[in-house]
Formats: sequence, C-alpha cells, structure tokens
Amino acid sequence: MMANVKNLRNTYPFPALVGQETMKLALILNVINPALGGVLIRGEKGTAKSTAVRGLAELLPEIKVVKGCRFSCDPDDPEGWCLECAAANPEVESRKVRVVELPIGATEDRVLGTLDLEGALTEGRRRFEAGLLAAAHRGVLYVDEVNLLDDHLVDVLLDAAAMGVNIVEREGISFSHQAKFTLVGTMNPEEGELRPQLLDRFGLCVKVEGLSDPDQRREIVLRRMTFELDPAGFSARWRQAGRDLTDRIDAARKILKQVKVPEAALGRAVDICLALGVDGHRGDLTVIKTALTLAAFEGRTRVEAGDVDRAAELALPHRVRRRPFQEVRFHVLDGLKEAGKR
Amino acid sequence: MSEGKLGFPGNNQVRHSLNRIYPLAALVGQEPMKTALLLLAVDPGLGGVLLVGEKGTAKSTAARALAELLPALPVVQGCPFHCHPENPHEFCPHCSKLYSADRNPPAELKPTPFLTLPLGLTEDRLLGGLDLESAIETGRAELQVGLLGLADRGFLYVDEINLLEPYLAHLLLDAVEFGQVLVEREGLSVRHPARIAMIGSMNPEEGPLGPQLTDRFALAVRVKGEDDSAARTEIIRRRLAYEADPSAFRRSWFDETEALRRRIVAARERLTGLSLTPAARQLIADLVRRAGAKGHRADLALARAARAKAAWEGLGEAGEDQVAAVADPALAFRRAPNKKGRVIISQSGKVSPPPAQHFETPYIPSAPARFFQVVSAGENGGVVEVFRVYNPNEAFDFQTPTGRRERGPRDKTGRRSARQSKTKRGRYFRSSPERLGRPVALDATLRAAAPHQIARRGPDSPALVIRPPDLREKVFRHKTGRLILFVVDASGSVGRFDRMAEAKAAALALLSEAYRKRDRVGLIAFHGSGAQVLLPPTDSVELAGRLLEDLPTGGKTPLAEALLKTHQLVRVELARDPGLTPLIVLMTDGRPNVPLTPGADPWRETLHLAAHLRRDPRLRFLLLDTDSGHYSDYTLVGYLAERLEAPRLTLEDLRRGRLEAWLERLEK
Repeated sequence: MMANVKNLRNTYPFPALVGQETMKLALILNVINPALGGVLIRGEKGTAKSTAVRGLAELLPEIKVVKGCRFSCDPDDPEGWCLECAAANPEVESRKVRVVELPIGATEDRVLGTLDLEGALTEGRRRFEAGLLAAAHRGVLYVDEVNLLDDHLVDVLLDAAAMGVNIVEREGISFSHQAKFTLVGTMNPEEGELRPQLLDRFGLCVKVEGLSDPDQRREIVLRRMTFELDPAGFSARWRQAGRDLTDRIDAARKILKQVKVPEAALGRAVDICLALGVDGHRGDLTVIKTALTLAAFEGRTRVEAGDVDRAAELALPHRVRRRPFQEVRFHVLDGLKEAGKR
Repeated sequence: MSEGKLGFPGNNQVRHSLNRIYPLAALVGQEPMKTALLLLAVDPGLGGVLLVGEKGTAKSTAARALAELLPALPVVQGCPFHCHPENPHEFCPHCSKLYSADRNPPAELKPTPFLTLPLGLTEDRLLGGLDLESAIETGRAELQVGLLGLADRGFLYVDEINLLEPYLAHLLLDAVEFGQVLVEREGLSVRHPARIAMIGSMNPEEGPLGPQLTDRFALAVRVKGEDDSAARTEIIRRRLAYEADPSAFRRSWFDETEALRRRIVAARERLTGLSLTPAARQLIADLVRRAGAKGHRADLALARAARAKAAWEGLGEAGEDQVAAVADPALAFRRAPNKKGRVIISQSGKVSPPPAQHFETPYIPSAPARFFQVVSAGENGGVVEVFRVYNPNEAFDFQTPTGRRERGPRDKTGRRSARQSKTKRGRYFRSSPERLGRPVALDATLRAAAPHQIARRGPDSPALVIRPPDLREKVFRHKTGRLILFVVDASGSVGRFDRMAEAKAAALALLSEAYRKRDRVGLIAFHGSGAQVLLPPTDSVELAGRLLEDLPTGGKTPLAEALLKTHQLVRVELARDPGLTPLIVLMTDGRPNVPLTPGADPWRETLHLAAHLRRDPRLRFLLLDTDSGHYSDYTLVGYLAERLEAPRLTLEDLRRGRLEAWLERLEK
C-alpha cells in the first residue's frame, strides 16, 4: 500500500520523543481504545507532530484479518464481512494495525475508491477498485495539515466517519464496505481553522508547543543528531523502551472491558460538559471513554474522579464553544471554575 | 463476477447496518424529532423530513433507526422498482408491459428500501444510466437502475444534505416531489416511478440549505442536545451499554421496538379514509396565512402531517389538537422572511410568555427566534393572535425585491458565482461530452462506447474499442462562491455612543444578503492590542452572525494590524482560487492608535498598507464609516476610502437603503 507509512524506514522511535507528554498520552490512549475517535494535534511547525504519529505505527498491536481481503474484514465478525469474504471460506492471518496517510492533495476517487480501469478496459467489467478508506479500515487514518484539506474531501471523509461505512455511488459503481478508522490529524492553527463538523469528529484534541526548557531543548537536538547519524543504532537502543510501552498498552487493552464507571464519574462528566456549554452529546461520551481508557492505562479497573477531569482536558478543548477573541482553551477546567464563580 | 451484479446496493447497504441499528425507542428525549420521523413512517407520502441541529445530537442515529421499523412491502415479483401489485395504474414500464389491468401479477413481500445517499455521489448513480456490461455483451441499452429507482416506495437518507452538490440536490428533490424519474441519457429514455420518502439532516454551522430546497420538505425539526443532567447521564449510560455489546443492547429493547413497529402498521391502516374536521381545516388555513408561507406546500404538509398524527394516536379523525401538534415543524421554517410575527393561540387570547425552546431559524441570521407556538387549542378553537416582535435589525432590512433576484448570471440554486470549474479541482459529480481538456470520465466514456462494441469488434480488436466521439469529460464543482470578508473595528471608540450596536446590525444585515446570495463569509475583528481572524472563510453565515453578535468591544484600535491580517487571509484564499474577487467590508471609525512597529505612526502605517492592498485588482472594498460624526475632522476614513478606492457609507446611508443601491451596481 503506497500510503502506508508503517513501511517507511528510519522511523524515529516514539519513546525517544522528549517532552510533549499530553500528545503522547492522547495517541497512546487511542491505541488502547480505538473507539475514542482519534486525536487532533495542534501546534506550530517543528513540534514533532508528524514524527510522533509516524512513530506511533511501531506501537500498534496486531489484529486478525481475513487473509488477502481488500477490506481487512474481521474473521470474528461474519455479520460485517464484505461480499467477497461472505462468498468464500476465509483464511485468517495476523498483521499490525496500519497507519494510512491521506495526502491533502488526494483526489476523491483515490479516497473513496473508483471504477477499476483495467477490468473495465480489458474485460468490459465493472469492478470496484478500493481506495484509502478501505485501506484504513480498522486502522489509523492520518491527515497531515488536516486544516488544508479541500472541502469536498472533508465532506466525504465526514460521511464515512459518521457511519463507519463507505458508501460508493459514483462512476457507475455501486458498492459499500466498512470503514471504521481512528482519525489522527495534525495542523498548524496559524494556517486556518477546521470546520466545526470535522472538528467534532476528533475524539481528543491536544496542543503541542515548542519546549522552553533549555535542558530539554538540548536533549532534543542531541537525540535528533544521534538518530540521523545512525538511525539503526539509535532505534536499537530505544527498542526496549518501545517494548515496555507496547507491553503496557497490551495490558491496558486486556483490562479495558472490565473497567467500571461509578455513577459519580458519569455525573461529573455531564456536569463539566453542561457547565462549559458543550454542544451535543459526543463530548460527554468521549470524556467517559477517555476516563475509562486512562484507568486501564494505569492498570486500574475502576474510574476515579481524577480520571474524569484529566479526560475532560483531552476531550473537550475543541468542543467548548468559543467566544470571539478566545483561543481554543486547553485548560478547560479553568473555564469551569470561572463558570462556577459566575 | 462483476460487483455491479453481485452487490446490488440496497442489499449491500442494509447488510452493514441493519443489525447494528441503535433502537429508536432507546433514544433519550428528542420527542419532536422522533415524532416527525414516525409520522413519515406512518405516511411516507408526506415526502420528507429535515432534521436541523448541531453536531452530536443524534440526528443520524434517529434517522437510521427508522430503517428497522418499516413494515414489509407487497411488490410485484421481478419488478426492478417496487410496484404495488394492486395498483396497476401506477405500474412502471416493466410491469405495465407484462401485466395488463385484468391480470393479477405475482406478488411477494420485500423489505422497505432504506438507502443512504453519500456525498461523493455522481449523477449516473442517482438517476441511473446505461448498464455497461449488458451493453458490451449484447449491444442492448439497458438501464442500470440508480438510487432513485432503487429507493422506490422506500426511504432515502442524506446526512449533511446542505453539503450535497446543489445540482444533485435539485435532481433528488424534484424526483421526490413528482414521484418519478425521467432518464434521458446514453440512448436511454425511461420514465419510472420513484415514490420516495426523504430524510435529510444538516448542521447549520456548515452552511445553509437553499430555501427552494428546504421548502420541499414537509416537516423540519430543530434538534437540540438535552441539557438536563439526568437525561444526559442516561444517554451516556445507554450509549456505553450499546457500544459494549450492540446485540445484547438491541435485544433488551426488542419489545419497545416491536411495539413501535406494530403501532406504525396499525396507524397506516387507520390512515386510509381518515379525514380532517372542518375546524381543523379552518385552523390550517389560518395558521398558513399567518405564517405568510407561499404556495400550497405548507397547507398540504400541515394537513397530511395532522392526519398522520391522528392515525398515530389511534384517532378516527384529525382535529385541531393534531394540527396544533404539527404546526411548528410544518410551518416554522416556511414563514415568509419578512413576517416578524409569532402566532400564539390561547383560549383567553392572553399573551403567553416567550417559549423556552425556540426554533432558532438557522436560515437567516438576522432573524431572532420567531416561530409558531400553540399554547392550547381549546375546545372552541381558541383565539389566534399575531404579535409583532421588535427586531433591532429592522431598520437595515434591505431585502432585495423579488423581481430583481432573477437577474444576473446565476444558476437555479441562486448561487451567484458557484461555478462548474474549468479546472480539475473540486468534486466530480457528472460528465459532459463537451471537450474542454478536463480529465476523462472513464465510466461515462465506457458507457458511451459500450453500445457500439458489437459493431466495432474485429478479429484482433481489444475487448473494448473506444473512438474519440465516445470521450466524456469530468465536470467538477469547485465549492467557492463569492467571498465577503468583514473587517470589524471593535475598539472602544466605536463602542461609545451605541455605534457598535448599529454597526453590528448593519453587518448582520449584510450577512443576510450574503446568505441570500450563497456567498462565503469571513470575519476579522480588531480591538485592544490585536486583530484576529474570528472566522476563516466559510459557508456558514449563521456562525458569522453568532460571532458578530457576541463580539465584545473596548480598547484601542489596531487598524494597521487588521489590514495586515486581511492581506494574509486574502492571499491564501486567492492562492486557492485565483478567480476569486473578494469583497472586503471594512467597518471602522478610522481612529487607528496602535502601530504595527513600536514607535511608528499608526496613521501612516494604515494608509501605506491600504495602498498596498489596493494593488491587487481582484480585491474590492467597501468602507462602512461607523463614526458618530462628533470628531469627523479627526478620522482617517476619508483618506482610507481614497487609498482603497472604496465607496464610503455612513450608518445614516445604510438606513436610507444606499447599500442596496451600491450592491446592485457591484453586480453589474
């Protein structure tokens, strides 16, 4: 797969990133729980946004897929199989979850899929050629500079993200397949904002800033230089840290289903959203799911009050209705205190 | 095997969704939305329901949930559409050829089609087109049925309908209104039934849906999130349970779902022959007249919805209560834009307090909540009263007279400058035989070549022989209309003397104008120490209106920085679309006092930047002078107007309608 960034050699190891803990946490939480709905990373140029996303590919777990299936069907979910898998007797294979990159200059037919040229010309047959949305099913769809994506691409992306299904009714083709993906976007807010509907599709939103601590800055430069001189050696040195993190993620994935949410935590999440004037209900739900995942990441099977507050800081910055002259707020609970005062 | 035959779309879409549906009965609250959808299920002849609301308010969950509640349809066996075996006078060409009126066709039961229409749709899949494979094999022109045909006697759902290509939206809503489709393309000429119930949903923040399109819907519901914390907690609880195990969750709601299903069937049986009481008819006429709704769609929608409501409630006839219950969804979105009235019915004729839940019209931002609230239609019919609501924008309501709207190079959506782009940017939505050097539309080219294959085929020829006349090009729609960029001075000097209120009102009025013309709008505001892009160019006039209304004032006047920000933003927009001619509306009292460079002269800087902006011939300017006139010798507005070659209008001019005249001139 052309756009599969997993295969790029010389990926800077994720654990070797200095600082940017919130961004790293948000990405890890999405690996543990794909139902969180992805993350939007906002920040200036050169703040390791893309490096982090590319490094993420190494941390992704293995999944079972139907061997050779273009749509990565889940062998354990026969109800959701594509027509090809339903017609055949599928074999199972295991592979890593993929990161598929959606380039902002992509054409609509590459994203959605299109009429297969070869089949049409040589056999006069109308066949579906799968696009990026098919490749991203059960994986991560990564859009660098997501705020510069053309409007019509945003529209079709929203359509698929909303349903988890890509319905293709174009160019004589009538086809649909599952397309559930974790949407990861990076953007530099100086170059423009995102449309509200797309913004809402990101589960979490984090801000990255250039680090101001001189020691940390020195460490970044040092590591970067070491990496560029000897990528293989550098990666080898960080392999153990990577394995530790992967193990922790695996452990969290295993207990995620057992995590319980006490009533008080639900109430807290709703109160926060109401106090901050968050539109709709996706905010509440994402706060709770994030709190669940945080608990699992820390090896607990019960959500604690602090989890909800930390989750709110990740899940609500882009959902709080902004007033003019107000930047996206990344410390939403401060806003809550203000609201309480009023 | 080819997928066109394998994956008949109705089937395919249902496969993925039916066993994953979130039960409608399990939705917390949202009664108006649920009622509207259920009424459509009772009487699909209503035509359509539009759900308008912010993101995450369960619009699409509710719409999709309807799919599992619809009773099976008796259809003629083998019919490519869904002809009713007992309705020979409505037969499609296929059925009327095979079965004359006296012969009973073989019947079968089929699930009601419920199809989702994706935004990436192209025209051939909507209307249907030549079946490529059978054309190549047999040389016969056969119809590959489009979504409109497949959804016959069923339901079509369009999420984000305001983002659907306007050309396709018109084809769609025309078909829904007339109940049939005429396919005239690629040598085919087929007229077939398309009796469709439409469900559309949209988020008004993403831009409006044109009035011609909204009017086609029978009912429109404004959907809001629950703000009661108990209800919200329950929503999360149910959603978590559903996501943990969809099948178990669906099983636990099976009885409620089954009850809804049975109630729909019962209501449908009751509907035949159900009539409106004379008093109900009278109330409908009154309400529609008060609403100032044009045409007869409003009457019809209200009457049909009231009947469906009565059937749903198990009644034998529809009375005033039923009319009253559906008045808001049937009329609120249709009331004439200049009707600033609310209809309030009460037995005593007393004024009722303004309702808590407004139908905040998403369509015209300058319009505050105006809607129809029926307090209580008493036994004697009640008294109908109309109250005028004071509208602070009234002074600036310079609505273009209807006659003039028809002028100018616009397509039928009213969009003044949305265009079919000559480039290859934007969305491919249909093909054209016109050769302009655009990318080849492979599907359309193949369809054009297909019928000739038998004649062209030689012993050594490839599978397909394509000749130049077969070539079809892709037609793209590039989604940029005109751009109006508001650059608003929110400094303290403007805030004084209540000038800001008037300035905001003027800007809101301009926004309504932008709405009517489907322009894109952007908003830059400046006060205190800086200027800020509050709204990057967007279709959402509503969002601009909301930001403008909330705009705080006070502080100094960094006019130079505002011009710099304007320049930066316009440069990006022009790079994306070089054909754009942005109109920049600068609203200021012209008293810059914050320099860009510390120590520099803010006046000089401002004029310098203005002259620089003027250099791009594509930019046009309008200066709205918000000065009170008290210190006119101290302001820069005159000089600015000169540098920008911009007409300068005062608030007094606006009140006298001079802006209208100016816009008129601009269009020529």
